[in-house]
This record gives sequence, C-alpha cells and structure tokens, in this order.
Amino acid sequence: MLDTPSSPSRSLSDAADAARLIPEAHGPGAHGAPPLPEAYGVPRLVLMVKDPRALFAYWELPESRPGEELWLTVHETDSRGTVRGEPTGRYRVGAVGRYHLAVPEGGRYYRAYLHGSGAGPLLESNVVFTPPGRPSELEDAAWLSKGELSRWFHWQPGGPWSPGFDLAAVERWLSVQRTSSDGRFEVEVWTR
Amino acid sequence: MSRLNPPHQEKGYLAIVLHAHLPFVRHPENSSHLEELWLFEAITDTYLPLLEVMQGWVDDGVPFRLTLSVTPTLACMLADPLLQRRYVQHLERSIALAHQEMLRTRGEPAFHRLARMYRDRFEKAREAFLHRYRKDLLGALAHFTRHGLELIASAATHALLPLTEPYLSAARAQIQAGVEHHRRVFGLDPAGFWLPECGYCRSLDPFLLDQGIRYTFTDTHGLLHGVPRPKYAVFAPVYTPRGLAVFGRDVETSKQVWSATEGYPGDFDYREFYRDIGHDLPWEYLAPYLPWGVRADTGLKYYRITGRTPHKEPYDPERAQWKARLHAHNFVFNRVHQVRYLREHMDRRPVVVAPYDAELFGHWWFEGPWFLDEVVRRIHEVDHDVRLVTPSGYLDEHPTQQVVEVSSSTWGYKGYFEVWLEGSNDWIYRHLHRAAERMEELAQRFTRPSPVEARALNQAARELMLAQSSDWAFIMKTGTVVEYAVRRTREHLHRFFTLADQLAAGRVDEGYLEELEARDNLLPFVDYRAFRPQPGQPAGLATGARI
Repeated sequence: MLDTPSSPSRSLSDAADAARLIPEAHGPGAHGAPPLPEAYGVPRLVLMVKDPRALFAYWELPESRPGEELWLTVHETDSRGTVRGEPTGRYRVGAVGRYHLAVPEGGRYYRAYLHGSGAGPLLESNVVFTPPGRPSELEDAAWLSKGELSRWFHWQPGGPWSPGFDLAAVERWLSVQRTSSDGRFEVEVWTR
Repeated sequence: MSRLNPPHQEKGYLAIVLHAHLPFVRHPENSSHLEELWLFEAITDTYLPLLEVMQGWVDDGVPFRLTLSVTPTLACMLADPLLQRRYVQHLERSIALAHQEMLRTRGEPAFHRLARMYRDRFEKAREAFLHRYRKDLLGALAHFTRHGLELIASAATHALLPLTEPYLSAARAQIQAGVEHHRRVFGLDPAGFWLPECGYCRSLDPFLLDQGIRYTFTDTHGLLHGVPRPKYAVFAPVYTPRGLAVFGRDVETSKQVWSATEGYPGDFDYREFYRDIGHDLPWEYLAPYLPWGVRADTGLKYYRITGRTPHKEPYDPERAQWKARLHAHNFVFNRVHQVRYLREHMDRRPVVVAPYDAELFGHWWFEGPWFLDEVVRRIHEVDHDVRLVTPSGYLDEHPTQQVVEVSSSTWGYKGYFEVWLEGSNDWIYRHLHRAAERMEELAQRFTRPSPVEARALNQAARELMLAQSSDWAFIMKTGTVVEYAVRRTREHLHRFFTLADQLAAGRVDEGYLEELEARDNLLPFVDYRAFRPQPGQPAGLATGARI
C-alpha cells in the first residue's frame, strides 16, 4: 500500500497550511542493508511531539477499501484524552503514511484520528502533551525537601502510577494554594 | 585544610559536567573499519588527556569536583579486547607516520617541531594506555571517584528517550540497562543520570527514580518553561512532582565554550581541526598509514585557525597553551562575577551548571584539556568566591527545592526534537516502535525461556537498543556519513526482527545467534525482562489501534 499525499485536501486552519507532507518511504537508498517493510500489517496511528507547535504522525490501516477517502484529524484534548472542540487540522491521506503537523499552541494535549467514509473514526492515536514553549505565568508555590515531597506525593489520589497524576494534578494543587491566600500564591509553603 | 569543606564563604558554585559518548562502532567483520577511528581519536585526544589532567590535580593536591557520564556503548568499547588491540595498532601507525613526518619536514622548522610534538604525544599515549592504565581506562576513571570525580550513568545506547513514546518500556529498558551497566562496570550506584541529548520528558521520572537516580539535567528552557516558573531560573535545581532533582544548563557558560564562532574554541591561535595531513599530502605517501584505503584524519594537524579565510599559518603550541590559560582565567573571572551578581538576588548560593560533550575537550578543541586544567587550578588558587561542586554535593547541602513540572526539551537545534524527527530521519520511528512493541510481547510471553531462548531474547534487546541510538538519526540529519547511519539502523532492526521471528516460531538458529553475540557484543548484563510492562502501566500503545 502506498501513501498518496501529493494533493491533500486541507482544512483552512493555519495549522493545516503549515503541515509538511512527505511521501512514505523507508529512508534514503538501499545501501546494501536489508530492506525494511513499508508497513507491518498492524492497524495503528501514532502521534509524536516534535516541538511546542509541531507533531509528527505515522499510521497504517491494512484493511482499508480501495478508493476509500481517508482523513487524518488532530484534536486538542484534556489530559485523559477527551476531545475538546473542533479539529486543529484535517488532512486527506493514504492508508499508510507519515505527516508533520502544526498545532496552534504549546502546553496542550492532542490526539489524532483516522477517518474513513463511515461515521466513526477508524483509528485513534495516543495522547501527547506538547511542551509549553514559554515561561509559565505561575510562580513560586511549593518548596519541599525530598522527604516532604515524597510524603506530599503519596497523598495524591492514585499514587505515583496514577495516569491522572501529572501537570493537571500540579495545577489543581496550585489552584488550591492560590485560593487559600486570597488570589496570591503562597510562597515557600512547606519550607524546612 | 581543603577548600572543599570551607565555612561556606563562597558566593556560589560551578558544576562542570562532561558527557562522554560514542556510538557502538565495533566492527569485527573487517580487519580495519573507518568508523572505529572515532574511538581511537577520542582515546588519544580526550580520554587519556582527561585522565592525565585529573592525575595532575591529585598529584598537586588540587581538590576538584567534576561530574562525568560514560555511556555504556563507549564503556563497552573501551573494555573490548579487540578494540584495545586495534587501538594499539592505530597508535603504532600514528607513531610511524609522525616519524616519517619528522623526516619529511626536516627543512621546515615550523612543521618539524609539530611532527615531533605529535610523535611524542602518540608515544606518550601508547605508554599511558599500555603501561600506566594497562588498557583499563574505565578502572582509571573509577579510581578518580575517590578524589572528586562523580561518575553518573546514561542510557544503554544513547537513545533519545522521549521519542520512544508511546512505547515507554523501551525507555525504561534503556535506563535500567544503563544503570545496571554502570553498577557492574564501576562498582558504584550512580546518583545522577545523563539523558542522551539532554532529552527530557516527564514520563521518564518514575523509571529514573526506580533505579535510585537522584538527579538529571535539562537544557535551559527545560527549567525556564517549567510550571510554575522556577524562582531561581537555572541557578538552583528543582524537584519534579515525583521527586527527581533536575539541574538546568547555564546559557552563558555554554556559549563561551560551545560556540565555534563566539566561544573560546574559535580563537585564531587554536589548532585548526579541519586541516589534517590525511587530506593534504599525496595518497601514495599516506597509504601505508591509512589501512582503510581512503583518506582520513591522521591526527597530525599543522595549522592554527588563523582567521576566517582559507589561508592558514603554522600552529604554535606554546602560544595556544598560553591562550588556553588566558581563556580559563576569563572563564573563571566571569563565573565569579556571575555568582556574585546572582547571590545578591538570591536567598541561597547559586549553582552554575556547565555541561559539555567530553569529546569537545581535546578532540574538537585541542586545547580544551589545558583550559579545563587551568579552570580548576584557578578556582582553587585564586578565585574563592566560586566553588566547584557536583550535583550530589549541592543536593546534600541544599535539600529543599522548588517543585516544578519540567518541560520536555533537548539541547539540540531549536531546543526540542526536530533534529532527530524531521524529513531525513522520521522514517525510522515506525520501525523502532514496531520493534519495541514486539520486544514487549516477547518479554511478556517468555516467562521461563530455555537458556538458548534467553540468549536470543537478550540479543534481541541489544539489537533493538543499538537501532535506537540517537547517533544514527543525528547523522542522517547532519548529512555526514548518512549511508553508514542508515545501514546501521536497518541492520540492527533486521537482526532484531529475525531473532523475534525465530523466537515466535520456537526455532532459534544458534549459529545465527552466536554470530550476532560475537558481533554486537555490548551490554553483557542486559536483561530482556526490562521490556515487560509494569503493573499499572499499559503495554505498548494505550490507544492507537483500530477502534
């Protein structure tokens, strides 16, 4: 199956205009090394972070119907992968391919989908979080020793392996600190 | 009394961090292989001089604090008998060529004395390698941990760990194998971990902490773009919410040493790296000394940078050494003023973190070891406002840090992942991820492998890890020896998939396995079980399949 990205349809977003479309290949030249397959016959859509405003996606859909129009969409989500609003980019693609995709903002969660002519998506990607790409507006907050941090950490619901324990947890905790000091941050909340 | 334990009168700290790494370029299939030259040059230019500099500090009673990571790929090559033997052969050829050059340049005093300098240098390297260190450079490094050197671990094959996502078991395996290798080779539990390419993402925290790692490093913006904004910028470490200490790279020290145009290494009195007699003299003359059958660097470089034009003048080692001292004094002067200024604005002593590729010192920047030597001596003898520190030492003195969610970042061009994820190299990730996924499956399936299956599983892990080396994607991007990088990526993936297919079919070809074990013989302590997803962590893609 070969990718057909030569004349993709695009949404009108800036993100779509900035996308870089690359034909599928296995890298330059043969160089005498054993060839690698174009695809592995396993349905998948993988999203990777390139920088705060760029992602990379590759996918394969082994059982696509000949001539079926396929679309790749990228969506902002929350930390658990629930889609928020309209796609940030929409691209017409082949059954196997890889694209570099622009996204509007850093410090956000994204997920991609591959759609066919049917109602629901055929493939969904992993969720990625882009680096903020700018300094945070939040300041100070907690100052802890390793022992204190460890104790605080284990108070969090779900413990260290909780998939929800991430930036969102930190932000929630920081917002509590903000509230507790009349809109101002607590400085050195738990210093030694 | 040693200034390492003074009554804290200094204004701040300087943490010099060197990262020693080379990709695994051992090629037993050929009697001589050009890429092995990378290792030989680095031993002569960087690792031996670095050992010599540290020995000088010890001999002269100069207390020092230096942090050094040695990647497992490099460590395995340094300990490999075949490469040790070939390195000595390489030195013999270099000495013979330098002798020949002394004859050829008899009528040219400026070049003749340089040929003599190189002959002496190569003979000294041979003596040190064979007799002083008895080929055991890793043991020599470990020796200096009793004197102020802090050795830290790194990933098994220098994979850019954030790009293993979403197959994070690959990142965990890289970290686990890297730390285990460090423990076995150096006999020490590493407190720190150098993330290849300074590539950080928060998913790595639990893997590092599970291995007992206390701290790591990111590039400047990894900290500066953290949430909340770090109060002391990069002049104090932070704790991530999971408890990993993260130190940020200082911009100023980085620029002064890294930049070829604005930094010290570009000084016109320093040796010109790109003018080597291997490319200047007639092939017929050089051929006996270049067994690869093609032109290559010989290490005999006769010119100084001179200026920004092709015109070059003969190198003057005494003048260059004087300039290195001057630059070292300037570097320390700037650090003193930097920490004095910062101390006025901080309620704790600032730490300036200065990480560099070790190979910069001596290989790329010939005068680098002299510079480093003088920096340490100057701080000891003159400029007491700044004190050398290791990250562990700093954390012991300052256990309380701000809690910050550190930003994903690298120290590559533009600060993120573009260097290793762009048009020239993005094709590799489909294959690397598929291989990682299959490795996860194998690790889960083979709970009680036969001895042969266990060997095949561990060799499969080695082949996958070799394919994951960030060096290959970097070379594809920079366009230097692209064919070699592409071939290495494909070969290791091919070997991995062949072993995986054999394991899946229950028919391991022992002859093939033995051949791979002999060829790609790194990471003797690798354990394929590191690829098993941990409880609570999903295998492979949490999502991403057909829905």
